Amino acid sequence: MVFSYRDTPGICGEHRMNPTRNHLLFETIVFPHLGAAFNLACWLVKNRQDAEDIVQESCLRAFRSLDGYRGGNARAWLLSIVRNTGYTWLERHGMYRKTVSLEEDVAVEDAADAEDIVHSRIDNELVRKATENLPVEFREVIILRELEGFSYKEIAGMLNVPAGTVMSRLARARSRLQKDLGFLLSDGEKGTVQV
Amino acid sequence: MNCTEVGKILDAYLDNELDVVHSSAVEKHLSACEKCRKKAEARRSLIQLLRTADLMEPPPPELGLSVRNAVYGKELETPSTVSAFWRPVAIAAAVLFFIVLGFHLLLRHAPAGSNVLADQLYQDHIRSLLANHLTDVVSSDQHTVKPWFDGKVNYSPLVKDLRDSGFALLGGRLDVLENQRVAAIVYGRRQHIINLFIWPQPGQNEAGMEDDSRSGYHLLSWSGNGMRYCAVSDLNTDELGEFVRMIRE
Repeated sequence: MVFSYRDTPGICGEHRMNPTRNHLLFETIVFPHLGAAFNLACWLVKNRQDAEDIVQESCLRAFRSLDGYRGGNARAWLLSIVRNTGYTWLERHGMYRKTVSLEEDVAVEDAADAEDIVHSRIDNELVRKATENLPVEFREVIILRELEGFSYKEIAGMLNVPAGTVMSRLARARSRLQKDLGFLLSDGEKGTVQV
Repeated sequence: MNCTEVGKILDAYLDNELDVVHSSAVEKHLSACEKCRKKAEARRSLIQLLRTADLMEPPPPELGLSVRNAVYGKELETPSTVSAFWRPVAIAAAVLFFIVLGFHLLLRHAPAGSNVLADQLYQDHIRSLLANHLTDVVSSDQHTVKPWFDGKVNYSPLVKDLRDSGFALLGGRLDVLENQRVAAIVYGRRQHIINLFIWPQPGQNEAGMEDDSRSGYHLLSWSGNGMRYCAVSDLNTDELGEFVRMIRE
């Protein structure tokens, strides 16, 4: 970085933010990750317009808590804010009910034997639909792992759960996708794939 | 390890998240158990499929602008006792203050020598985003932007229409670099802004590409036809490189 995050806390000594520093920090820390923020928001609320509002609100929150940013992965930091904002939005609109119980988190479902998935026949739309149909807790781990490439540890930090939970959630999410994609396929292929 | 135990950590194994001991235990089991091996293969295919499927939701092109408006707008309109009459003055003073302090902050950490110019370019780029002064002439038409510089700088800057390649021409701006006026041509790619600074550099023939990165911004500069070109953006280096290639074509 050109400048340190840990400069003097404020010009007036009363936790007032230094406007310049925070503007520059915002431009360098938050702004490069708007695309990732928008993508995650879309996958959380499944609506582009609402996702845009969520990104705006998240950025405002990020800007106001820049003083709390202690270095580290800026994308992970921003995305955890987007995630919180997204969940608040889902709750406010009555669209969120905890769908993954703690008990379930421990057990890993046996995956459907989906070795018959024929890649060339599955187009993006099917994958997208199957991912959309996942409960939000599963959807987000798929996005954070497969699209954003975060490690289990990083995802655990963002979700505030143990890394083992990330592992089992991801496993269950993938198992469901395997089943769903198998089903979607057999639907379109007149039962060539067994579920 | 038996099949159930392997099943529980199979995903972590495929994601390279296991330690060496567990990882080799899984490997050993897989080499002996065909059922689990098939399961691992199927799972690997699914992961591959998810990664190659285009699941990324592209952001709307105006997202960057609306975010900046939301963030900086809110910042400027914090409740205050300043009357409506003085507010514009206060905002102007604040903006000026930001700029001056910004320069100070950046320069304070600037390494001496050749980096000073790069620092100025980054500052010009960031300032153009901060002070709502991205463009002096707003147009996506190269035949509007190019003539606008007539009489403002004593050269005619290169302006290209790269819309078909995904780089939208947004406009042009006069900027100051090393105490001389330079042309900044502004292009956009998704929500990213690219400032292409152009100024004459007599006596300098073709020079190779120089690059520099800091704080999430990238800079590519080169010379040609007696001019110096410098592209600055928060765009990733690959796409910025693609942009530069097309400008140079």
